[in-house]
Order: sequence, then C-alpha cells, then structure tokens
Amino acid sequence: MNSTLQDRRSAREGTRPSPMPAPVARWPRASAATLGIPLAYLAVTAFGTWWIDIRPEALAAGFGDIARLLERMVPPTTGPLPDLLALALETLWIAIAGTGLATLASVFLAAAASRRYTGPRAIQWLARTIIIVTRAVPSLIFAILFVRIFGLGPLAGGLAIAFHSVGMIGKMMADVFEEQDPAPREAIAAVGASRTQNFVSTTLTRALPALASLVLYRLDINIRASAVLGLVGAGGIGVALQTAIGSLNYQRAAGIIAVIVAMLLVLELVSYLVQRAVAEHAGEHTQSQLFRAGRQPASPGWDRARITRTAGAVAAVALFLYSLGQLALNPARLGQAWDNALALLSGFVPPVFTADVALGIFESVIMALTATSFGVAAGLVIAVLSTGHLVRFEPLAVGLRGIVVVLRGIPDIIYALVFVAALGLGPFAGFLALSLSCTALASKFFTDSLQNVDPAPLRALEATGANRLQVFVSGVWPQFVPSFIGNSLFTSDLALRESAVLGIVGAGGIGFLLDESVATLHYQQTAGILIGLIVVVVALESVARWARRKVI
Amino acid sequence: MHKTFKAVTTLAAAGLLLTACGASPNARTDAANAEGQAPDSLVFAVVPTDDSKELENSFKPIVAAIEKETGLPTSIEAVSSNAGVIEAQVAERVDVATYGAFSYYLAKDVADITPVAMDQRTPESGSGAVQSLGVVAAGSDIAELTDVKGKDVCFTDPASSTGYLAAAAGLIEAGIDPEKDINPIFAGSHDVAVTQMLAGDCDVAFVAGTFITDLLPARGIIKDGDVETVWTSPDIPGTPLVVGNWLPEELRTKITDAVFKYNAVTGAAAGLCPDNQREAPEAWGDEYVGEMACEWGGTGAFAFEPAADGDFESIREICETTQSEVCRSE
Repeated sequence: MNSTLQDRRSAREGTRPSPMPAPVARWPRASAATLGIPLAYLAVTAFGTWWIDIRPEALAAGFGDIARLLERMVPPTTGPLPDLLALALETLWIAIAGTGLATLASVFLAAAASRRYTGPRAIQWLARTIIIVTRAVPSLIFAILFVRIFGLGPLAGGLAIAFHSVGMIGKMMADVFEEQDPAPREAIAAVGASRTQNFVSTTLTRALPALASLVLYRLDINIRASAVLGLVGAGGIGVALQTAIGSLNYQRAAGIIAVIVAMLLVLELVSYLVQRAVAEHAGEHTQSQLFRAGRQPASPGWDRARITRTAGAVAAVALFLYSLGQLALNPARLGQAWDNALALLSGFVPPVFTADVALGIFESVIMALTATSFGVAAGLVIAVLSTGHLVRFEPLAVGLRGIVVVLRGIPDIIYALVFVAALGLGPFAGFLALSLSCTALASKFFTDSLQNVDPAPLRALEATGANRLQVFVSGVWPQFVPSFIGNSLFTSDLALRESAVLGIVGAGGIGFLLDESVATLHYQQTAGILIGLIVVVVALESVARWARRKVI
Repeated sequence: MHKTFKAVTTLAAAGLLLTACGASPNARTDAANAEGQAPDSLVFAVVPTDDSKELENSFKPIVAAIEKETGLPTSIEAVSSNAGVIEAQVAERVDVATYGAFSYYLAKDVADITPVAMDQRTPESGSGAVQSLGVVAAGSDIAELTDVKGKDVCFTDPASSTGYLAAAAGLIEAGIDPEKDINPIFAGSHDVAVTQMLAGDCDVAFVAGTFITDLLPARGIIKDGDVETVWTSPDIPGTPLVVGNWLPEELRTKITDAVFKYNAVTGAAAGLCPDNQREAPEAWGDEYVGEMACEWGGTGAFAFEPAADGDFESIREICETTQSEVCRSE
C-alpha cells in the first residue's frame, strides 16, 4: 500500500533515479535501513528459534493428531442458515460503521500528524499520540470502556472497532500524505489559499485512491476481528463462533468460518474492482485527461469512468450512513455515562508494572518478530507467484489469492488448536499459529505493492530485451524495497496484537496477561500492560520512520 | 551505516551463540507417548475459571506436591481457552488438567480422561460447589423467577454453566423458554453482566455467585444493597482435576495421592509455597485461625477431595433440561 503512492509520486515527478542499467554497471550503495533491518530480523529470528525451541520433526510426528482434529471439523454445519446470515449481516454493519467512523477521524488526525503539517507543533504531537495510543490499545479494552458509557449493544462494539482502527488508518494515511509530491501544494499556497483549502484541493484529492484501498483493507481486518471478538453484547457472528469453539462444536465453527470467508471473498472482489478503477484514475495526470470537457470548457463533463467513480462513492457513503443507523444509539443512556466511565478509568490508576508483565512483553515481541520473519518470507513467495512479474499463469494467481483470503478468514484460535493437537501446549504451537496469520497479512500487503509498481521502467527494460528475471531484479525489486521494509515492520506491529493467540496454547505472552487482568478486574495491571504495549509500538514506529527516511 | 551494521552483526552473532550453546527455557524432553509407558515429565494445564487469579502461581504448590510424589518434572501451562486444553488432552499431550465442570462434560466425550478430584473451598466436603445467582437492581419489580418472562436478561455467554446453562435450566423449569420468552443479552463476562444490569441495559442478570458475594463487593464495584438476589441455582459441581488414562496406573495413583496428601495449610507447613503464603481465611473455621496457608489452586481452595464421573452428573441433567446447542458437541 505504501508503495502505491510512492510509485505514483515517482511516476508524476520522474525524479526517481532510473533503474535502467547505467552504461557502467555498478551496484547502488545499499542504505543502512535496507541492510540493517533485515539483519536485525535475522538476529531476532535466530534468537527466537532457539527460545521457542523450534523442532520441525515434532510437527511431522503430530500429523496424525492434526488429521484426527480436522476430521472432526467436517462436514461443516450452519444450523438454520437465515439465522447465521442475519448474524453475519450484523457483524458487517458493525464493521462498516466502525471503519467509516475511523476513516472520518483519521483524515483530520493524519493531516495533522503528517510531516507536511504546518500548523502548531502541539497539535501535531497530539495527533501523533492519539494515532499511536489507539493502535497500541487492543479493541477489547475500548470495548469494556464503551460498554460502560453506551451500554451493551452494537454501538459499544462499533466504537471499539472505530477507535482501534484509527491507529492503523491514521498512520498509513499520514504516510500517504508525506509521500506526496510537494509541488502542487506549494503552488496552491503561493496563490494565497488557506491551509484547509490547500489540503482539500491538493493533498486529500490526490490521496483518495490510496485511501480507498487502505479503508477496504481495514474493513477486511475489522470483519475478521469483530467475528473473533464477539464483542460485548453486540451480537453478530462472533458470539456464535466463540460459542461453537468453546463447546467443541467444530463442525458448526467450520460452517461459521465458511460464511466469514465468503464475506471476505466478496470484499476482496470489491477491493480488486475499486483498485482497478482508482488505479486508472491515478494514472491520469491532468484535469483534462481525468475529466472530459463539459458544456463550459472550464467545467468538467461526465463520462463513464466518472459516473462509475461517483456512483461508487455515493453507494459507499449510503452504506456507511445505513450502518450508523444500525448502531442503535440510546441517548437516555448517555446521562449516567460519564460517571460510569470515570469510575472505570479511575480503577486504572496507578498502573502496576510487574516483572511478569515485562516478561510477557518480551515473549510477545520475540514471538511476533520471529513469526514476522517466517511470515514475510512465505508471504513474499506467495506475492511474487500471485502477481505477473515472474510467473504469468493466471489460474495460479487467482488460486493463491483465494488461498490467502481463506488463510485470513480462519481465526487464529483454530490454527492454535490444530497445532496444539500436534505439538502439545507451549510456544512452538503458538508461534506456528502466529506465523500463519503473519503470512496471510504479509502476502496481502506484498501482493498489493507488487501490483502497483510503476510499469514504465519495466516496459523500458523489456524493450532492451531483458528477460523476466532481469526485469524483476532491476525493475520491480528496487521499487518494491521501501514498501517491503515498511510493510514488514507493520506486520510485526499487527503480529504483536495478534499475539493474544499465544495465550490459547499456554505460550504466555502479553495477550494472556491482558485477558487475565481484565477478566479478574485487575485494571491497574491492565494499565501497566497497556503502557508496555504503547512503548513497544512507539519503538517499532520509530524504527519504521527512520527506515522510511532512509529508503524513500 | 557502518555503526548500525556492526551493531546488528554483533546482535546476530550473539543470537547465534546463544542458539549454539545452552538449552532454551522452552525446550522440553519428548514425552514417551507409547501406551502404558511412563513418561519422563508431566504437563499440568490450567484454565482460568470465573474467579481465578494469578493462575500459574496459585497452582505452583500443587505441582510441587506432584513433583515430590512422582519424582517427575512437571510444567504448568496456563491456557486461556478450554478448547486448547481439551484438544491437547485428545492428542494425549496434557497429563493433568483443571477446568470448569462444563468443560469436563465436553471433554469426556472426546478425550480419554478421568476426574480424580475436585476443589473444596473450606474443610467441609462439597464446599467447592458453585451457584448461579439471578440478581436485580434494588427496588426492581422482579421478585421471583416467573417475573422474568418478557424481560431483557443479561447472561455471560452461552457456554458458561454459571452464566447461562444453569439459569436456562431454571427458567425452563419455571415454564419460561430462555430463547423465546425473554430477550437474552450475552455480556461476555460476569462483571459486565452485573454492572450493565445496574446501568439499566437489562432487567435481571444471571452470574456466578462468587461475583455477587465476594469479587465485585471486594473491588468496590457493587455495594451492600445495590443488588437483590431473586434466584439461586442448585449446586453446580466445583472445579474437577482430571488425569489422562493413558498414563500408567501406578503413576495415576501417585498423582492422585500427591493431590490429596496436603491441603493449603499442611502444604504451607511442608514448604510447598515458601514465597506465596497468606493467612487462613475465617471461613475455614477456628481450627485454622492464624495459620499460614498456600494459595491452593486458582480458586484459593482449602484442599482437593476425591471425585468421580458421577459427581458431575448435574451438568448432564442441566444439558438434558435445556437441550442447549452447546451441550451437543459432536
């Protein structure tokens, strides 16, 4: 996703040093980030491999147990299908409402957090803090907070999703804004436009295509998350799934997962169509190419592409507004809300930070980074095979994309159970479950980035007679590296939050402690854990920012 | 760049060095899985129950007793999901486990296990039993179970015996269909069900009794007189301790003996919990006043008492009454 804009920018600017081989072939000097970050990952992975005690032969020995567990999952059953679909729809509305609210908030936050922001420094830091904190705090915590404020129901669930999503959408949106070519902004500023006018007419409009794919991707994550969380009286398919797994009814669980996967597949299709539509949009350079002339030369006219875009936007807004209606706000509840929320929050102070928490964070970070390394390696292979740069075999690409969606649609707890059957309780099973979800995340990120590399240099290379491998190495790869590094770091960031799965298999980690502290109402410990999480996320974020400065 | 490069290379080298020498803290010897053969280590898995705290620490003295008696190193695995432990039992990779009575009901159909003990909160036999309570806000017009018809009802989650199943059975016996005659709301946890009932999201909440009698008052979340109890369920059996039948008979007996050999007080005297002691609570009676005790399992029990499959019959009865979806696992 990062690369999308990056590449578009370079396409517009034409300032990127040409990847075409210079007359005297010489390797470009690799930057510290391109070497240092992968090496750091290797170091952590080496340590993690030892720490987790990874032994492939143990997994091979457990295949019989895996097979016996999988046998108990088929055939999938759904119970009364209309009931299940109604639940799925409820989940969908909550996810759409949450994602939409997060998008609205993120536009403002990202504008202020971006390096390009020229307003007061205090506002910039405030925006950055909000983005980091919301990303570090798991939606479970937002959920218990909003339940106290708004009562049990879809509103609390939707807001929990919205707040947590702000962290990711805001961060990525700010990245998009920062990567933009500054020239149009400077030109508009020079004619005396206000900051708001300038932002709307240059920054936001140019960012829209990237935002569309970003928001759709977050919607995908949110459907999956709300399906797993079964948030706080919000109903939806999550409660059904949790109940099915909790009562060992794996056939029902498989049926529910099939419905979730079907929803994600539809979304993947929508996302593909939207990306195709906006990619055309982004390829156009000037107003006159983008909009055919209207009756007046100065007013843009309508053509099919513009009608499709506008209709799509109107449909998206209508869906969002309808989903907001489904959240069922009860104004009467708000009266007593503040006291409840304040009483709850006062239970969080003073935060307690124990050795157990420090160890849990250490375990989670090690496992998340190690799982990221494996996931990134596997994801890269999948992404290369499912884009047409090296292998042009359409059925393989479509098949792989489908597999990745299925991989993403299956909740971590199912992976955890499968590996527990094979390996017993402990970090190895948790690590494998985490690696699978990292693979699914990374391959999605990388496929999108590879899809969006600027084709011009590739065509040029092909024209010189370069074969596919040569084109890939000297044309695709250099363009892909910045987003590869950025997205790998971001995958670690997500893996850290997914590491709650480790608790399911007795591998410890911060997720288990967090759940335990919430379930036993030890909120001071919860606060300590949250602070630890925020520190780790800030650290990862700083590395990512440093890396971006070096490679972009 | 060179600085970073050096730092990272050093790190990598350190990582490799560590890898090369010394066993990982997570390394484990392969348990002998062959039927009837004695393994060279045991795995004890624990799942948080409604009111467990510091799960891993509180089971340490019991594991110490098992290690002492069997002579086998025993690892504790604290696991957040009952399904995780049960699947590990199905694959015969967890030797001893404790979880809720309903989890045992589910597990016995798929895993080859026997319950050997259950917890006992006081020196009195059978004191490990728990109840589900129906509570309303003070001044509510609901006075008994039949008044619940047509109301909004908060439960914990559909697979909780104290937070749903026992109450559903009670409602059915009172002639109320828990799916059609009321509006069920699943709050996800016991404390949320109670606080949101007080906040007006529902008219009545069904939760584990300890939350009303001990936990929530102790945390200052409810005060005396905030809630009224309108219904108490029959006793639901306490936390079973189950052992895998694949272990050799002799080893199973040793494990059981170890669990019964001590109670929280004698365990403390025997030095099973040197760092984690507390004073014996009043509920244990005059005999133990002023004595030091171990944290004996997640529920802070006094001891374990012998148990057998028949002790968990009441769960099966609840399941037969409710015909609930969650009771029919496979």
